[in-house]
Amino acid sequence: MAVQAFDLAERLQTPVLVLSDLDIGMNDWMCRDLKWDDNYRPDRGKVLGRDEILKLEKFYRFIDKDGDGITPRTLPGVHPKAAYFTRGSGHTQYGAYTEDAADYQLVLDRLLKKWATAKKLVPRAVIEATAGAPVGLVSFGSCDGAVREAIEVLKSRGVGVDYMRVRSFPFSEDVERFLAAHELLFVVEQNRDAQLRALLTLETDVEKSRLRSLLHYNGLPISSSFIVEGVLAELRPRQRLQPKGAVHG
Amino acid sequence: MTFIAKPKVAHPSLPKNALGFTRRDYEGALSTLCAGCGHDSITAAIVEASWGLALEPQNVVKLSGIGCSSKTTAYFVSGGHGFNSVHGRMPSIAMGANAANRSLHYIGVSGDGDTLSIGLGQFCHAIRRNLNMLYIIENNGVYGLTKGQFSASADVGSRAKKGETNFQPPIDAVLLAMTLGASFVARSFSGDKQQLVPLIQAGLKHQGFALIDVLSPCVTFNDHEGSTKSYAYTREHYEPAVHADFVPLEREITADYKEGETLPLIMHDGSRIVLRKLDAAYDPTNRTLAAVQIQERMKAGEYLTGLLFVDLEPAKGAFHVVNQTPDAPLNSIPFEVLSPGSKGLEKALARYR
Repeated sequence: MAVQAFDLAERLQTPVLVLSDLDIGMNDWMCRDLKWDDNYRPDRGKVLGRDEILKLEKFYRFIDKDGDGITPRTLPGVHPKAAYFTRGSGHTQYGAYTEDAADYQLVLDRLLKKWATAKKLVPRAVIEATAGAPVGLVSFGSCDGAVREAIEVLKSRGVGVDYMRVRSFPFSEDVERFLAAHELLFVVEQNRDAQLRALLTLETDVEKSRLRSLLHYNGLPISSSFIVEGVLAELRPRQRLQPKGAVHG
Repeated sequence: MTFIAKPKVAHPSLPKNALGFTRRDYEGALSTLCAGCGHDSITAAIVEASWGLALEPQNVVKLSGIGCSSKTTAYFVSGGHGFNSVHGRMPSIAMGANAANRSLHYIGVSGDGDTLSIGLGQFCHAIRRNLNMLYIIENNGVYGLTKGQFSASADVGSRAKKGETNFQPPIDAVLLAMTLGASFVARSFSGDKQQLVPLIQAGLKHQGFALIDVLSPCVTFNDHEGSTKSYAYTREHYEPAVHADFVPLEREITADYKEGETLPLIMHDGSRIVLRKLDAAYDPTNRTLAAVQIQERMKAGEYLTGLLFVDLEPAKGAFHVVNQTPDAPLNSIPFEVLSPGSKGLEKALARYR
């Protein structure tokens, strides 16, 4: 993911944050051998080379020609025509200083276009749809192991659930599709304030009533039984196990 | 702000440097700083120094943080890339740019606010890593852009424009840099171009981190009675200790430099810094003694200026040396050469089994 993050940062000309957590970063994990694709080449994004620069009459840093919101850049040391100044204050499409309201708004609008482009480029969600079950689990990051185990346990109890592991923000288009395709969704996360659920309600058309939170935030890694009990408590009130401090919202 | 734009046409009689450029070719956009600002004088010194060194404008990289001083990177060498970053974060941008392309000239312009408060951490570590750049602090004792609050370089007992007194002891960038092992440490004054221009040239040529703390009075917020960074106060308490002349390779050292009175230091490319002691007791090659001298004179309220400390020994601790990078800039090396590939990954993983 780090490799992909660098490529995205250069393609989008935007800082990209790779979200990990303490459990992943500090503890020992068994994982599959890491593999490297020797055919991989980095995506340096829109960088004008010397030949392209020489063809220009003048270089303007923030002109969006193809509508994706991303404007070509140049590297220092190539040609004086290509030099530009990255400002700490408002700038025009041409890269010049401005205090003009219309110029400033144009830039903000272009950045929103870039955000829309990012949705098409960021890592897609990993989706495991079994037999088109009406219930789906939505989660991310180090919850994955516990979620998978929970799905197996639920299956053995006759409850089939689909699973979507979100891998990026902004959400890719498949996230919205998964949410629309399930009557009931459990958003499994390890924080008190249901942050992923909040983002899903902000960024997609999903009705809040279809999103139930399973929140685990006592400092220890989430367990599959927490998830199983949370799901069953909602789906089968008569068969539910006595919750032992299990919390859901 | 009204102004008369300077025409782009240069008079044919203007002197040209080795590249055929006049000083106009090293200028930038018109400054929007206050009339009389010290920073504009420093900008003029940078223009003069770059012209004199015949730097290729596109090979100059101008970096800054946030503040009035950080605005000045737009006002010189418009043919070079400029990056006005976030407050106090110029050193990390310089680090990344330098790591990618070690062959360019990096000038970082910052202020006493940008460097000594929010940027203090990054400043210290850039020195520790001996990042090859010229770092100029334009020091006026206040946060000018936000209208005159005390900065961390304000002296105890100095008064702000509306009369408040500062009680917190100052951080001195020169002493701090000396403690951290910087190999080129200078102090100067925006009003002394004769001293400042050769310092800038020597700092640009220096292979390693070069610091110039330039007293640069804020004519709007800190030029009053009670300020210790005003034009009046600085001129009164200003003590040049060592004059440094920068002598490029092409120029012979003239007979003006009498042996015994001067100390020529040879730089990596054969050019020279000729030090001339103005203060007989001051030794710019002894780090400990220099630090003591600077502090003692400070207690007496004097600003010692000039090239206060310099160590030209090939920078063993320089960033690229320690990291054993190749001479060719990293961003010029094809990916196929840079990446160890799947074989390299297998070898690395084998170490963990």
